Amino acid sequence: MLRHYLSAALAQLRRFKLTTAINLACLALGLACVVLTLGTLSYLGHGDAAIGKAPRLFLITKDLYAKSQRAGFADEPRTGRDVGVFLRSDFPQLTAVVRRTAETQFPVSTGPTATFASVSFAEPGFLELFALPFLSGNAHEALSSPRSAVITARAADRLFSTRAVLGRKVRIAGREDVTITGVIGDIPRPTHLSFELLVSMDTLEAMRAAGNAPPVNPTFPLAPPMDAWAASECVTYVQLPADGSLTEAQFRTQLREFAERRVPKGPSFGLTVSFGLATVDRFYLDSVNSAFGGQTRTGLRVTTLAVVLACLVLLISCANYASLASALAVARTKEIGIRKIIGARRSQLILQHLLEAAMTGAIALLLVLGFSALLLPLVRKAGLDVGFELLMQPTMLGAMVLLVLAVAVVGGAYPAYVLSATHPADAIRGGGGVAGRFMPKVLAVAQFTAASFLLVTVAIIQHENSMLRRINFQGEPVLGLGASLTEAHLDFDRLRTRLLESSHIASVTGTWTPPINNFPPLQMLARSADVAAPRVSSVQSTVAYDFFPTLGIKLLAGRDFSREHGDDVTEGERDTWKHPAHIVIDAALARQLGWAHLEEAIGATLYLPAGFGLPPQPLQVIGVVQRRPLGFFGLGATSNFYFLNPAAAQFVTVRLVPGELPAGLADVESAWKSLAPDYPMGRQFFSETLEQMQRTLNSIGTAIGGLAVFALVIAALGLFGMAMHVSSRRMREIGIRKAVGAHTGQIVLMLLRDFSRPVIVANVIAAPLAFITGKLYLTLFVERVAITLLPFALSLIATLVVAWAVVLQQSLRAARVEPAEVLQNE
Amino acid sequence: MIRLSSVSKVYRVGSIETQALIEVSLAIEAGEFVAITGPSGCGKSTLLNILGMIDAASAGSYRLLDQEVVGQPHAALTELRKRHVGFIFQSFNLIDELTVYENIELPLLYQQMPRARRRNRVREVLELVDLQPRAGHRPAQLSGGQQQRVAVARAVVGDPQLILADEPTGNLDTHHGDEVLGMLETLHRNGATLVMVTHSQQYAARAQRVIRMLDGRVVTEGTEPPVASSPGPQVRSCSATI
Repeated sequence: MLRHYLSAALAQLRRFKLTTAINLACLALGLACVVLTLGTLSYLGHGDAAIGKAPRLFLITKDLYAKSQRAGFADEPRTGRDVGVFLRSDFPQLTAVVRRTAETQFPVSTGPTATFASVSFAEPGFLELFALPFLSGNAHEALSSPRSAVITARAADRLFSTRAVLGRKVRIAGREDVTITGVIGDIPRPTHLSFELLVSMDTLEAMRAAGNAPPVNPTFPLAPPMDAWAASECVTYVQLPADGSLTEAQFRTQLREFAERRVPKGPSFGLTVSFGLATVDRFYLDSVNSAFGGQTRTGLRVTTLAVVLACLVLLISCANYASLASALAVARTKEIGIRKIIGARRSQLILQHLLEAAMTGAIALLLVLGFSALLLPLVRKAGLDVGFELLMQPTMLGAMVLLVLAVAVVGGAYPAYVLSATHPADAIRGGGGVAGRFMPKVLAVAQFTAASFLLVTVAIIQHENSMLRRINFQGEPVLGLGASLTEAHLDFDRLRTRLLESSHIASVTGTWTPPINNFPPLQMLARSADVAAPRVSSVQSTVAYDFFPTLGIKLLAGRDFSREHGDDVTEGERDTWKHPAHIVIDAALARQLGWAHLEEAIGATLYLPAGFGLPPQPLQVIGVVQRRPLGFFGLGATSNFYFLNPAAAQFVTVRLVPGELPAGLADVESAWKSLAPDYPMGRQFFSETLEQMQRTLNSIGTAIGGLAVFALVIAALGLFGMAMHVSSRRMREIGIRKAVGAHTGQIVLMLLRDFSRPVIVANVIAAPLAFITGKLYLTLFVERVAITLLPFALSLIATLVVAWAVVLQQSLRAARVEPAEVLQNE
Repeated sequence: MIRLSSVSKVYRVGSIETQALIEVSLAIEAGEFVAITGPSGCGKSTLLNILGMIDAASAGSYRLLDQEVVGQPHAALTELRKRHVGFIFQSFNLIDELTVYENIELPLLYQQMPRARRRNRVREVLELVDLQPRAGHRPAQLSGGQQQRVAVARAVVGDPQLILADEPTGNLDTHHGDEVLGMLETLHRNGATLVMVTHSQQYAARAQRVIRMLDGRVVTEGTEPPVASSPGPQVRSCSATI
């Protein structure tokens, strides 16, 4: 029987060649999305597969949730540096607990010139856990001696112009000299190890002890001791005992108790920290998932999102298959009727059609695999070390079998149900499958809804991107210095004085955080201390003097921060402030807080809400400035306010004199070098920084645009197939209409109108969904476009034009039929 | 074998009702050859469809082989039909994508007959209808007469007790029509009960009994003297198992 089903399925595929081609193309596209996504995740999820690892090796993950921010990170594969210390004392049965700091860009120098390199500090036991590809030096001893370092061959080429560097010295952060004790080759990707220099941990401890160690990947500022638990400084590796005295399951349970026992609690602190275990190969994916979920404040995992989107594309393809198969039901009614008369049970007919769908899915999958094999050389050339064996892993093969089954069920179930419901007597009389006419239209609507939704969303994104281009510093010579003053051991006032000696430099200022910031610190402000008072979310910035003139922000009311007003400076934690802190707000915040005239805000009191055990904190507005966003993302906020604290300045911004840029840049370099010769100064014009960010946003828009085109192509192919069958089915009706006087043009218009209906309905359904999605997307940004009717109109026009282009040929063919030819055959 | 008592069939399309059969009662004994005649639209095919259980009566009783059919679930009717009934249609109703062999084999597949037995039986029936050389051909490659012979083969391959033929000669010329009717007569002589709907008085006269219908009712029933039948040149041997 199975042979009969397969042979009947092949016969049907051959019978309806064009439909088969459309189905194969659409299913192949959908399957390609899923296979590519699963393959990529499988590749990334098998990190460090090529280097030897110690058995029973895990790393500690951290779940962190900040109640006040309503945000957190889950399964982050990094911990505070002290977690490992407490684990050693609380779990003596662990074979190893080894810490390695996360890679950070450090200034390094081998001579007079300093540059940046990716540096990680590790305990000696690290080299026992991973078999790194040593080219020279002793793998077991390379980090055992104090102030030792292992360098990658590429970094050796870059810093020393040779790989024979054993015994040579490298200066870290302008202070500590370390000796090269090993050189390693490239670690095959994917890997969670991206350092150029692996330095012994005692070096970092010595730098900390001297009180001058730069921060290593700090998280948001926290008061200790929570800092020790919530930070993300280290990767903490643990090796479970070989004797089984502590199993993975037991350790997971005990880690939860460990967090309960060790992490300090404070009723108003609002932070919760807990720990888990993960395998090393999941490091990259866990990092990406954790960061994405935390920064979007959704807890969403990138891996889940990617798989869902890919499955969505496959679902559209399956819907296409179901639509075409249902449209074909009319052409197959007689066959099904005969089978039923001869004795086929309904279940046998359903199985037959599910097998047909499975066969189509299997052929489509083979096409995808064949195409992938052809593309592999290109992928390898792009630097990804993948082979066909990635797809041949048991999990991938299993996934592919499931995919074929999913196509069979999702794509084939409805047509199987429709076809098997054929009434044999009706079939013999020449009647059609009733349900087979309605569902294809529903499915066509579903496909065009997806396409329209994506088209409108893309239009909104592109409109927003062009609006964001207004945030730029084109033609303004404003330069941001990338290095942190604390790391460079520079005093802001000293540097400022030195810079202003140059006649090519117009002004200098400083900020606590980088001035162009995609994840700005936000704060809620209210006009009253009342807990029920309406609050506004605003971007908080801590700045030095001359911030507004340096960044070209005009003063609109009140005054700027002034050296003549010593009480303008706000220092220390807020519970130490002796008077309401002086702030400057921008015009947008003034309006959001209800002031129609900006002058009314001057002298007014605003409040920071109560939190962290502190009461509402009063602030006094001394000035209102022009609204000038310095980044694209506001994460809900569209306004700014500023504190003054020159002592907290970490990042320097310089406005050069226009027309004297080369001289100005040279003077900036010279000033820096004279004060921090061993610390490289990174710099970038604000216009360049914003352009880079714009390019990233454009990429997102392009990616979604590609998806929209994709969805539209699948929907169009589906409509083409449906038009083919519907036109054939209506030949008799068209023949009669022509016999009683209809022109070809009238018939064409009638058919185009009928095929337009599902497209119009789809646009109507997609509109509110796209509107809501667009609105949600726009809340991320500090400048937001208004959503007009234009993107919806464009989507309607585009989908209609595509639909007409696709069905026109079928409609013309049907409309040109000779009535006698059709009616005579009847 | 067949007992119909006051069987009616009403077709409903929206609010419009069409009475296709009105209180039809008749009996057909095992081994009879019955012809059903009447003008177009009188309900002949409807009656045949009800006899073959591919359509359900709206009212009345239908007993087949002492089993009540009306009210039975679809699955049970499918089983009854599969085992006891063979159908032959005016427009042949072969499956175009299957070969002659596969079309004839199809009922045996649904009966889940083992492969070896199935192969032997299909070969036997192919010989009976003299179409062995065409076993690998598709219906589109056959003449009308040949297609109807395939349809006959398919109808009898499962050894049914009841053969229902709806205008089996309607799409054939006289020569091929005689050929097909000869085959049906041979099947009847070998023990099958044969019910044939026909417009042709000549072919109806070859039946043992003729039921005439008009406007959904049986108006007359009668036995006609058998007409000397043309030999069935395509039927090579008469197996008792047919």
